[in-house]
Amino acid sequence: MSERDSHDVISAFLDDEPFDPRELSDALSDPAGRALLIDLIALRHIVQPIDVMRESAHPAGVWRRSIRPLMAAAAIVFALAGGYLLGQRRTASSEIAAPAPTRVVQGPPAWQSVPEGSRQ
Amino acid sequence: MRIVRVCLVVLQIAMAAGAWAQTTDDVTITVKGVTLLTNGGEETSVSLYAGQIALGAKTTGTFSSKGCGLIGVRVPGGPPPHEGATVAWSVEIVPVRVVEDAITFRLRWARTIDPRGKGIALPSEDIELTMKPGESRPMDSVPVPPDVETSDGRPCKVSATSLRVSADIYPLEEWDRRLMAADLWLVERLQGGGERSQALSIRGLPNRSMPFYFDSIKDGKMSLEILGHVVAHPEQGAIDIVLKTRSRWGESSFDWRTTHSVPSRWIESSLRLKPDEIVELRLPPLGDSAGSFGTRSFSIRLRARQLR
Repeated sequence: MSERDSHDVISAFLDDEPFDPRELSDALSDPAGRALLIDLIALRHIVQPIDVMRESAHPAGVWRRSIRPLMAAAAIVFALAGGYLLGQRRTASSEIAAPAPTRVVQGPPAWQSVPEGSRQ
Repeated sequence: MRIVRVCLVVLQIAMAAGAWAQTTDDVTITVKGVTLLTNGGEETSVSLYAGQIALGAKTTGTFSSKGCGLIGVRVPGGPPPHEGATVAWSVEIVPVRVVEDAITFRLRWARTIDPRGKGIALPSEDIELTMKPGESRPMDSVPVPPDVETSDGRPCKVSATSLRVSADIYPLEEWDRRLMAADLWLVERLQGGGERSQALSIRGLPNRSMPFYFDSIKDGKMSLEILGHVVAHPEQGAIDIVLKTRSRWGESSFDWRTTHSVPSRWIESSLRLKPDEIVELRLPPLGDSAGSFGTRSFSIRLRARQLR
């Protein structure tokens, strides 16, 4: 998905215009898309006049319908961010349960010392 | 006269080979034409490569050199050596046997053109050598006169041309398309009966060293490091593994520029793994000198496979 398409679908979502949920999901799976979502939310919060905000207040039922996609998007962002963080943790620490061995071999009885100054 | 060069630029193959029985499929012999530089370094120019070994089969070639360390090698059927060569050698290699991890071969060489001119005794050798992959031996060396210049008139930075014979892993690294993989788990058996483990995966070429480094195991201000290398040798229905494990311990916080002397030990184990088999190698106790790590029980579990 191009940057332009990502911008369009996120804008459509924020403006309460029709959008394809799959395209939104694709756009938000990209860190740039998520950053754009946050920027646009912040921008709308700053530039929207208070009276317009008041006028745009919807009755309870309409509000619930409009908040639904926002919650869905928030859930997607949360899931993606959570997955990313979980992945980061797994990568940083390789501690995982080892599978059971099919055979056990006793190693040599003792370690060999590496004399100081030599390579082994 | 045309100069034909067999420009096999050979990388130095100094990787550790395993201690399994080498076969004629795993090892080869190379004679390298080498230039010694005035700054003390050494560079391989050309190589006569025996390729896949057939016991008793001869590999022959003629090395020649002129000017500022210009070396060429001619194989049978090719044109004569450099026109105006100031030095030349004939070389013959005959593999005799492969035992354990070493190849025995007969090496015959003779200097056929000498910069000192005719009428002098020319050096030669007819010897039987036994070498492991990674080992090499100098054969002959001839100084480049100090007044020689490069072809474009600059001062020559080569002090001598020489030949060196080596045993190498077959095939050369850049020609081997096979790929081996190994999964390793460092497992610590806990006193309560459980275990703590960490995992890593490594990949590399057959018969060549694949290094591994587990995360440090910390205890207070001290850290234990388990590292080493695996050499995987594919066999019919199995993979032979040489696992060389090293342990060393010291303060977790260190300055690498000053911390050179940490207690370090090693063990080497040879294992034969069947497909999907996970073998646990129990490591010996580190002992009292390892402080709190000395009584802890560690082992390495290993699974290996050939990816291609």
